[in-house]
Amino acid sequence: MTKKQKQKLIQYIVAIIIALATFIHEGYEKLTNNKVDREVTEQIENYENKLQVHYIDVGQGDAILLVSPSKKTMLIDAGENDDEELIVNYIKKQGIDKLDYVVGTHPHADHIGGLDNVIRKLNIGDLYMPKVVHTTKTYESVINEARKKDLKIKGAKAGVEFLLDEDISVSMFSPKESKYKELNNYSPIMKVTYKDTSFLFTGDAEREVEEEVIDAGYDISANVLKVGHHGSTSSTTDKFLGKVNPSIAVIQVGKDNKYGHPHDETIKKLMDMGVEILRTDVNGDIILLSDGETLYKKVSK
Amino acid sequence: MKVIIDRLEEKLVVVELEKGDFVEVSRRIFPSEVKEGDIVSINIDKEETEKRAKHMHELMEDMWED
Repeated sequence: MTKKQKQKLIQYIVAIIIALATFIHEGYEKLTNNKVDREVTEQIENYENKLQVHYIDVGQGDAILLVSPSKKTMLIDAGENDDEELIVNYIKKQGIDKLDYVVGTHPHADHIGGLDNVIRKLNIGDLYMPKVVHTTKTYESVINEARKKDLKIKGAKAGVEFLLDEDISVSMFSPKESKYKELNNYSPIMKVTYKDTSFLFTGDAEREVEEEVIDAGYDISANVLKVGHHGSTSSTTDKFLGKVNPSIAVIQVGKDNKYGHPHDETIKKLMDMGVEILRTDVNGDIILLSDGETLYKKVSK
Repeated sequence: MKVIIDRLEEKLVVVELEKGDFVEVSRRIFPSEVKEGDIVSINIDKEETEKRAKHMHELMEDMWED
């Protein structure tokens, strides 16, 4: 073989490898797409007679949608201002145009930012928020939208209880009536129980309130813990985590966020306890289903 | 310009600007007593700016060879 022939042969081989790699790559992507589609179909079939808990991937911020077996709905927080269309679209995609219960955990913009749009675009049943002043235009807009709809706000606080559906109870363990220094601490720690399964929601409640709820003697044990304050060390004390004793921990957090959430200490704690960690920055939308006995999991990433 | 403190994170302050959009800035540029919900005025101190400029002008005088 001459040098020229050799070069040509090498060129051919390289071209074939590139073509093959492209084909394999595209083939893989398609397969992934198909797989996702199939999962969605399976999800819809599986949703019958189950409580659905959607931890929506809104980047840094919280937004959780609950749908009961008879299609009663509850939204806990609505992400930041920029997420408002995403959240309304997500909810509508589930065939929902009415939220029976809405909880705005506390007035920080990464929790109630998208709530004005949710109130504007959807029918709202009961709206719960802790009664605490904040000065931002973002919070003002939420209050104004509620006012426009003649919606009165119910105080989110310890002792509030209601049924989302037959067999599904919602209990708030905090905040107490007292004043807190941090707005985060007005977040209700609340538990949703469906027969033998339970989900604990924490907003951004910090250690002070975790302690308060333990001292008050509430049963905070739950199968699934929404980790407080995006996995910051401000929350999830050893004592609190021990009492909750979850098998799954969900962290709602933005990829490469500037706050360093979730903090390594929190992740280590959860890992040491053998808790399965699901994160919206890694797993995308996280959907947990409960038939009252068993939990099922679907993630979008 | 007036801005509103939405929240204090560990090292950052999340600030709501006048149009309702947000920026994150270092906590170190605020007085230590800054609280969530505080309205902070950001003004250019023209007097101080002129004073500093004058001071630098004087300091620099005769320092250049050409």
